[in-house]
Amino acid sequence: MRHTNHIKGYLKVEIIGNDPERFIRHCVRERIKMWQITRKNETTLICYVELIDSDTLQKGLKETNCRVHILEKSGIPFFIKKIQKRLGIVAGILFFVAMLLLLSNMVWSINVDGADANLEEQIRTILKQNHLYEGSLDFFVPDTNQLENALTTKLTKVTWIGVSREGTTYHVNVVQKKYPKPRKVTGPQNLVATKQAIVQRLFVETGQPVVESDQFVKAGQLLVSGVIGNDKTVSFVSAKGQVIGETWYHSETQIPLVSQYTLYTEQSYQKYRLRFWHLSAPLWGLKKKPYTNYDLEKVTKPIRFLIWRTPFTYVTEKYRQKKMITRTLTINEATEEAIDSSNKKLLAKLPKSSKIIESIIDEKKVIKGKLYVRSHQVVHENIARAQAINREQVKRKINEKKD
Amino acid sequence: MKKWNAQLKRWFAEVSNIPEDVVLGVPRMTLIGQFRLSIENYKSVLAFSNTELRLALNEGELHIAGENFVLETILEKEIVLQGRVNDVRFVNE
Repeated sequence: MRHTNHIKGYLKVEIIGNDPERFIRHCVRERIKMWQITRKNETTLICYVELIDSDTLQKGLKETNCRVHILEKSGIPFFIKKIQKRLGIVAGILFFVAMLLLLSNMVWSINVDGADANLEEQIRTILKQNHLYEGSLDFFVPDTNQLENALTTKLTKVTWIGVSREGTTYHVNVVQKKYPKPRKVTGPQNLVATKQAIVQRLFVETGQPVVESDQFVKAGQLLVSGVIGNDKTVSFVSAKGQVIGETWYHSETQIPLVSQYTLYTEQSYQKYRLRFWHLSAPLWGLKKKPYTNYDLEKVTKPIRFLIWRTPFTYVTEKYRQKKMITRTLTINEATEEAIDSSNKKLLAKLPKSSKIIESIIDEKKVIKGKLYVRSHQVVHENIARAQAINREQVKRKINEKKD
Repeated sequence: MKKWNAQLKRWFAEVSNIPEDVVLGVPRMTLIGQFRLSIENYKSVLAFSNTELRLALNEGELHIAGENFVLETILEKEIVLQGRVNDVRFVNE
């Protein structure tokens, strides 16, 4: 039979007196629990007693003419007292664990690979705007995908950027754009037409122009010759310059007259929650559904302890309110937009210095709520393309002519 | 008169099928081997040592002798003794 009652607490005591059995009798009468009684010597009994308040104990001892000597104290009440006495140590241990937890979830270093000093500085400032810096807490750092997006949208000098996390370290891998060096030395060359066009203007740096303004040229036709001199003395140069030609492009676009699209209002609502396996407790933000229309961005961050992952995760939910907007266009507005978009599409395909001179609508019609526009654009663009000269061939030709 | 009363009780216990110790207020002892003895219906502990336990009963005393005695449990109506029990003796004086 076990009597030990840890919740209430108990004592191991020596009962000392001329007749210690009297004390036992007293305790039985008072219904004070005793167990494991043994005799030590004539005047002493050893036993376990449940914890009672000292007044009743003193009274009983006086009545029975006994003394008590406490040998051991056990149970939760004594344990609590012990802890209270050692509050400093307990607080220290708790503080230590808390610090360890905090430091385990801190970003210790950010490595940037493949960027020059200037770009690295730029990357670090962008990361800092996104709450990622050495010493920041990992909970507030957005997802690596979001970081990549933020970096790629802001950096133009970069072809690829990758962000990865390894424990408490973030790695940023960058591939910088490398522009090919402009070709400096060129051999003798002609300029030929890239496409069918009507020549508008010629800007010739070196070489002999072969065509004139308002002349119609076909693709591959010689525009500026790199062969100069007369039949007797032939010399070769690298023809350089620009030949602006007028070209025509046909395009077809369709624009819906009534369109619906979503737009973010500036408002957003953040919720924070702590998840333990499948249980999740909200920390901040109690509204169930803050908006009727919204997009949800969810970032989950596991809470780590040293090298381990605890089953707790910190979840940030960002609700961004959005609006559905219906746009109705008149036919004139739609036409304008169609022309605009086809111009943009065209310019994206052409060399940089190209200009659209005129957009002419050939046909427009409305079918099933959509406006179809067929148009053509008149463009001025550089049609010159370098083509190397085969010297031997040219010389032979001239010789043949001579003969 | 007292004797008569006791005899009546004994007769009642016999006919009513109620355990005699309950009706008569006499001790009921359970001895397991030689090492554990539990006594119900005792009155009080008179003396206790490693080799001897003396209990007061409703009538007379109970002396138990042995070795290495430990009072395992002590309640108002029941007492459990552990140790080597050599001798259980009633003393009526």
